[in-house]
Amino acid sequence: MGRFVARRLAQAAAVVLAVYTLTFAVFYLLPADPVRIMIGPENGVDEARVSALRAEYGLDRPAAERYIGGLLHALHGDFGTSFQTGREVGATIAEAAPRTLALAGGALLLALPLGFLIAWWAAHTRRMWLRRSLGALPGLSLSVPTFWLGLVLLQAFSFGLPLFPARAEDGLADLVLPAVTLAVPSSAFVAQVLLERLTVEMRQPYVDTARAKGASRARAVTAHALRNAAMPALTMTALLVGWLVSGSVVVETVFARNGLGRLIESAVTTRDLPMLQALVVVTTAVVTLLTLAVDVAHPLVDPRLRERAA
Amino acid sequence: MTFMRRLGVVPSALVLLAASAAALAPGLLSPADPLRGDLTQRLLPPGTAHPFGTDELGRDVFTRVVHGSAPSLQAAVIAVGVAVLAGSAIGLVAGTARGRLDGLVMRAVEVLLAVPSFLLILVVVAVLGPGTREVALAVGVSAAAVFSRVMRAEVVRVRGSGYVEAAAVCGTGRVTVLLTHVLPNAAGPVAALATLELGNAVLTVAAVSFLGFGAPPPAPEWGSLVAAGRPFLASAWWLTTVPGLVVAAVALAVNHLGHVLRTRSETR
Amino acid sequence: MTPLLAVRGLTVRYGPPGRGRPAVDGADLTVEAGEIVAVVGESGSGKSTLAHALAGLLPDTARVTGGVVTFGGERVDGLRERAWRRLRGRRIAFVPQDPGTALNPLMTVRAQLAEALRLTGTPRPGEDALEEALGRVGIPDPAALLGRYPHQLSGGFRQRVLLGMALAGRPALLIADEPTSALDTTVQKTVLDLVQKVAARDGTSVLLITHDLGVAADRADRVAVMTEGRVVEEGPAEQVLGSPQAAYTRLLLRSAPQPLTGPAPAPGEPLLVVRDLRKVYPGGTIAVEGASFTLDRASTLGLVGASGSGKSTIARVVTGLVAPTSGSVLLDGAPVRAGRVQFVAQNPYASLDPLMSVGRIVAEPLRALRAGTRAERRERVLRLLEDVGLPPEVARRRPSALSGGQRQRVAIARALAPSPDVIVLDEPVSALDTVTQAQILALLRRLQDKHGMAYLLISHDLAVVAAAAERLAVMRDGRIVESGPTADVLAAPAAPFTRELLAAIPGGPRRGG
Repeated sequence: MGRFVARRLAQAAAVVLAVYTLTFAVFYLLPADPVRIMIGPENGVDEARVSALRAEYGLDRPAAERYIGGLLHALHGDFGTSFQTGREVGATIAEAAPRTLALAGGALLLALPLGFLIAWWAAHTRRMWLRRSLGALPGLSLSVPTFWLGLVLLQAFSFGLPLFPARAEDGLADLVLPAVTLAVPSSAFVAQVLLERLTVEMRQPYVDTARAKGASRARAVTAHALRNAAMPALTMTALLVGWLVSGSVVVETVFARNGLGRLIESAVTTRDLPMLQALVVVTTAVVTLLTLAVDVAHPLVDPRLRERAA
Repeated sequence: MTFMRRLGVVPSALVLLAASAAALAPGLLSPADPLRGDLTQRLLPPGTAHPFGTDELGRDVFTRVVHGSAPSLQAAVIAVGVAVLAGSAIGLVAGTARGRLDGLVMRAVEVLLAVPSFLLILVVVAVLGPGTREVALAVGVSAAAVFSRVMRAEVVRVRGSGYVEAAAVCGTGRVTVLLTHVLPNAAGPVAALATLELGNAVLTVAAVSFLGFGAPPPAPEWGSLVAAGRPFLASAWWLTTVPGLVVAAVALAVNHLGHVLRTRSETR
Repeated sequence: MTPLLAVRGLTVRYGPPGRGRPAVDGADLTVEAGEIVAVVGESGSGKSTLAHALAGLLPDTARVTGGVVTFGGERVDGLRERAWRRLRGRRIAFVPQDPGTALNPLMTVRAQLAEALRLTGTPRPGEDALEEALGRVGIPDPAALLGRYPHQLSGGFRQRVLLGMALAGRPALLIADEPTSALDTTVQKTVLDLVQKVAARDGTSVLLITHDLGVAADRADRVAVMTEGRVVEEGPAEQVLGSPQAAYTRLLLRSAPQPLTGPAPAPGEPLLVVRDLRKVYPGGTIAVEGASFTLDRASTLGLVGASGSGKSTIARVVTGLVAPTSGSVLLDGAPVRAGRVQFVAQNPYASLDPLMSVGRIVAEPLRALRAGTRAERRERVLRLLEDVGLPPEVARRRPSALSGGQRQRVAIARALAPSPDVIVLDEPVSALDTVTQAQILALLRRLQDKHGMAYLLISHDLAVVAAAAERLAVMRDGRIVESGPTADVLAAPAAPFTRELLAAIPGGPRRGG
């Protein structure tokens, strides 16, 4: 078991390192000069200004030196300074993160129970129309653009019925609408993955065995099928966190909230490469660690994997 | 039941037909100029003269939505095309080569999949700059990893199948086996994924355009139309609601038809 | 006295009413208390749907649309789910087909057995109650087994655990849906012995669903024969199997494989010579350990063994699909050239490319060998199809439009195409029903008489091999433990394993005589 965890940990570290390397290569080595990316193709190029900027950000030093140096600093949480604001990237991210985490956490808190409920209900009800309707719900929710859903909610509940503030900055009230906006597609993801697995598991003979013993349909789903279907849904949840962070780009823009999403958006708009690289690496690291946690939990649930992991 | 299912296909097909017509021949559906406004006709709600209303410059929203179809849909189709071609090629090479090359390619794919896809798209947009074609490429690149994984799995599955074994005993050459058995049988699931990805791409392209990374204004695009209506959220609801509804309807139609096609080919 | 279970005119449909033929079409059946009744039928006969309907376990897509079912004198057709729950487990027990998937893989034997006891009225089953339940189904060390997970048990033990759970509530009726068809023959025998013993001890009635006439003959007091959703014949076992009335029963009985009779074959001219074959797979698994045999020209050699005995590996080495670790395979004293050895695989559903027409499939070896022009190949394909008893229009169809038997004929036609010297038949009929099985075996014999190729016939089923091969070799754990003329081996088996295999053939005495 220990070796299994160690191996998975090494794999996760390799993935994060690869993402760091990839972003470094794309931003600083591939065709264009980062300063030119930053200024943008549409603006005229002033050679003197370019070389001044290059010196300012240390871009005139050799690539290998910058890569190794940047990596060593990044390991200590130092991702350099922003091209745009001149502030330290790490500190800016740390400042913005809690608000986005609150948003993502709120969305998950709504989405997980909702997604589980939809899938569980659809799996065991005998009413065909109910099963069909519940089964169609995720596909329907996933066809709605998130940015539009947010605007419609704003229109209805901030301007139409003034229940929630349109752009307050504190408290729970301003968290509700953005969290709901993200929770709709998230619950659909969870319900879709879980229902698909549950449908497969419900056709397994062991479910017949359970019912032949005298178990009710609800019990057959809850005690038997759900347990077998839970792992893919948990893996999905780990990926969902990454989706929520990138989804916050849209939702934070719609609701004019500050957070990681706005940081990403402005880093892309102003081509603030150190900021963007740090955001990508940090987000990927979080998702990779969560996936790792689910993978490590897998053998705890499934005895067949326990033997293989040992 | 099958009647109901067929009935359900009709609205989706109509939506898709209308959207394609708007993309291919916008002038036919709405001869007006999407960029020219009439300042006396500002912020009119939907009515007989302007079915989707007008914006703050008096431009007809219906015309702008119609003329926004081409870039929005083109970007989605190009994105899926890039994803299918690049992804399948990578998956095919990995699945056929096996061994070390396979391991290397699939590790690289894993790294791409570890980055949340919308973030990956924004990274590519940051490097390439804004624009419809750039967004299409970004969405395609980010989806390619999934396609390569599915293609590889299919190639490995088909190569282990009884009929490829039978072909080997017959003395059929490796290249012939690849062309006559492996590729055709692996294509099905890849095509199924492509229909799924198309609906996704419509939404993603619109979201990126909403953030302002699509075609620069005043060119109309579905996502940027919604964004442009944001300041009038309280006073002119139609500016955001109607274009958003169009995106949702098209995405729903694509997803629905894709679902019908997939289930039909599964039962066959 | 009213019978325990009486079924009159039971009709079960899948999907919407008025569409197609019902899966169970007015079936009649009676089970008296303490009796073992076998329902015999081929796949698609509706026997499994009948079993599920009688346990109230039909899938959501199926519906009982007619008939009366009484259990213990009370009507149970059209019962609501809640009422069924009181019957299931306590009065009616059910054992599903495949023990590999019928236990929850994530729960220990203890948890699953305890659930069965709780649901049938023992609120807090203690350790002794659990051990007693396993002891009743002949598990020697119940305490040790309770903590195990299903994947840690052999197929036979899983089936015993399932049986133990089914019998936990002391039911009046046990419905067993092909309880042993996924098990090796020798394990099958021990499990069926157990069912018979427990039923006799507790006075439990058993409804045994099976495709195997031999199993029915050995175990049942009465037999019902099903085809196309109807029970065409029902009566005491000796009567139904001894003097069958229905045409279908007679066909079924005629189709059971009969061992070849007649004098032992004279030693022929050696064609395929395999010497000291050894195959070790990467990872160290030894599949074949020093196997040697000779296949004579125009003869059939049967290779028998349980799953995992190495017989399929031999098939793959002889056809060139895998290279041996050491040893030689020589055809007429030389290494095998392309096209001289052909292959018919076990699963006719997997061995034909679903996207190709039958014509293209059969022509594949001809194309590979660049034999003839396009028109000549088309002509040859039609002749091959005629040879295997398929009409010419089949050439344009896809495999999905064909039945299992037709597909296997296509696979045989493809193997015949390059006029090979040897065809390796890897379990050619094990995926087919009895009647189809007999037809395919007869076809193979006819083709051999006509074209004179040799067969290497590989099977887990001694009865099939005895019916088709004049010589046989018995394999176990990668080695050939016995070989010789079929008649001699059957009459006086030398190896203990061969004797075990022989004894385990269901319906042994009747079939052997």
